[in-house]
Amino acid sequence: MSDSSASIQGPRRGKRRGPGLAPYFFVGPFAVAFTVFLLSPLLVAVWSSLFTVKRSGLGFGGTKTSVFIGMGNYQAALQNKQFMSGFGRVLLFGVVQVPLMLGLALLFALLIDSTLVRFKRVAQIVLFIPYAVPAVIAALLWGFLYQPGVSPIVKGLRTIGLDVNFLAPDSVLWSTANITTWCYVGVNMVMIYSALQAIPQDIYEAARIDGASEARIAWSIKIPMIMPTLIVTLFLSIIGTIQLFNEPTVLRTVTSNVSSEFTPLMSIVNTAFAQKNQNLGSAMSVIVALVAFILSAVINLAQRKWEEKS
Amino acid sequence: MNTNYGKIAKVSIALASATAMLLVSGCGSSAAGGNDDSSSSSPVKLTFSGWVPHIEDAVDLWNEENPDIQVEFKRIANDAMKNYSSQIEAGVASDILQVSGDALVDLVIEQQVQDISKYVNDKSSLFTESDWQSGVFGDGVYGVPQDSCPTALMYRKDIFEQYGVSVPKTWDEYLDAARKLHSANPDVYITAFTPNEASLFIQDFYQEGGTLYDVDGDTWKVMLDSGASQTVADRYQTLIDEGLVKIVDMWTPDFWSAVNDGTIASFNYQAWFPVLIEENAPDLSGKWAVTQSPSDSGNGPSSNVGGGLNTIPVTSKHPEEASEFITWLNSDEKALDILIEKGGLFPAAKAGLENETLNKTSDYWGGQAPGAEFVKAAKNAVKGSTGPQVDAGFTALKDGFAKVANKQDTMGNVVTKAADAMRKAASDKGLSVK
Repeated sequence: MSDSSASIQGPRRGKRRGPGLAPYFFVGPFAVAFTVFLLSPLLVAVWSSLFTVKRSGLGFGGTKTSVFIGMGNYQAALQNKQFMSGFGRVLLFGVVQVPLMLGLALLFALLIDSTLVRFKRVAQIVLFIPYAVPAVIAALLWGFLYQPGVSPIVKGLRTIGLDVNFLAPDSVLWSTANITTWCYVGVNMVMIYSALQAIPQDIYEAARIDGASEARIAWSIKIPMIMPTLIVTLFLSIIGTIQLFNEPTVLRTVTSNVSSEFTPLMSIVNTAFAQKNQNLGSAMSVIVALVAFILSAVINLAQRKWEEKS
Repeated sequence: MNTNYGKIAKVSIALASATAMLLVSGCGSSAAGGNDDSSSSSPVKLTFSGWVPHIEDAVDLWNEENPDIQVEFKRIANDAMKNYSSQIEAGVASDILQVSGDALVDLVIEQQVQDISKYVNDKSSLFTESDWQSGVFGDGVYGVPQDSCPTALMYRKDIFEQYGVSVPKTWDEYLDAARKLHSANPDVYITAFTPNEASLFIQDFYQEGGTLYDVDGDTWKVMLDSGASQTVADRYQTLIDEGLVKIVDMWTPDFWSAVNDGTIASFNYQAWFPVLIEENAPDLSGKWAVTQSPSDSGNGPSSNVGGGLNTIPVTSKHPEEASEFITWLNSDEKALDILIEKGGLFPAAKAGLENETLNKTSDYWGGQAPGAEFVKAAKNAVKGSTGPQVDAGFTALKDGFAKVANKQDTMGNVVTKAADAMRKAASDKGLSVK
């Protein structure tokens, strides 16, 4: 049959019509934007991190030359105690805050998804609203709630005999963690909840027939099935933690216990803009990017291993 | 599959022209202030960035009287000074920038501001000598001084009278007064220790004859950790150790509520502070007075940490007109009236020292003229010299003060570390520092 149809049609006309240039038009704008706004600045930063500026005399009207110093800026950055301790601080912050926040988000998502909670939509909206508040406003808000002179929380606790200082040197990091958690629990919850919706309902029916409780269903069925989403939220939260900047900077206006180089990004802003040393700032930025990259790679590897196991 | 090449062609032409339009409009809107028109019919347009309160009124006055040179004022926060360097590099900085004396040094070293000596050299006599010098670097003049910051002691007359403490004239008397006040009432402190303000320390350091920098041939010499600083550091350490000062960050709601409820009895601070007390503690009207700062001898000198200047970046195309404007702004009688009355500035111009508004009496200050005390202080004030990367030193001081407030470090150590931070920042910039 096919032979006869081919002979009736005759030889094929022209060459095969492929997709042509259309894909380039679609990818083009993204490629241009990616190159201009992401790739080029990255390359400029790496290039700039290899140089430093040497001046003559007092610097007035003298010569200003760019000198290649290879790893010199990186050495200086790694020897900068405050920069390094900033890393220590955000890593400590991450180890505590990220599991706590994601744990809460998971718990809320599971609760809303289960049959135990009514008013699912209202609950979701209420939990999501903090994310809609701009980060700086949220930090200012909490900044007022932390200040002893004006905070209803502090005053209320004082009436029951508890003297709390949210802005003490030991507690200010955790006060910052509180702000971050408050802001981002909602959006993580929504992501996890959406993933939960994709699980087919008949799996639950089968499990219930087998006699599984809601908690057991949550633990053994739901969580494993949304593991990819959980990995994504972990990913995003860790990158966000390395880049912690907004909340400490705003809290710095209400307490001196947040130093000028509290987090790595605050160090970079201080170096690049206050001290106007852009070469050193570029080197510090590359280091931060590398740390984020390494952590992401570690998570990726862990995810692969987990997938291989199951 | 039918690929309609005609459709693709139309879409790509549309896209290309849209992109072209965006690019062209983008180029057009990024022009820095000022136009290249050399014809006499259209006015020269200048832009001016600053943060002095109500300075718009002075700018409006100039615009009325000078139709051929029109100035547009852009209000910024004083933190935005950090952006000046990037703005100048990008070519989008205003023609005139308000800048602090310390920040100006870095801009001159970066070669980002213009030498305007050929336009303003003959105007130096209009300004106080030391204020004029804050704009002079090497052989050039890089800014016209706007204001100055002499120090005086602002105190709660009623509190001192209530506890029978006499107003101190020497630093020894000050310590005694602090002890007396605090033992009479543990909720009252002679002053506040504000870790987030470095200039309180710097003003006392200058008063003892200290300076941030000395110049040794071609090398900058950091002097922040020299002898004078240890005297001041010891004094602060004593006040803190004996619990004689209220530890609170300045400009926070906590700070003003401490001022308002009488926890803080005095401030040895700068000429622009009275206006802020009036604004933030209106209920305390009539209870404050001003006198000369305490000093080692009892007869002065007081100190002057230096104020701000107006400078012109290298990107400005109208330095002559801009120089004319900033000279007028900072020395003309009518402009000074506005800067003093509404801006709360202590003027750098000699004419300003005689200004009526500056020297008028005030009910808030119990019928006294606070400005007159600052004028008296300014005539017998000492000032240290500035240099590169002062911001790094001040930031390190502030970080250190926070540690001192938490008993994690001592003032002496903090000052040494801050001096080292300044040395490092300056040498990281490629300068020769010791």
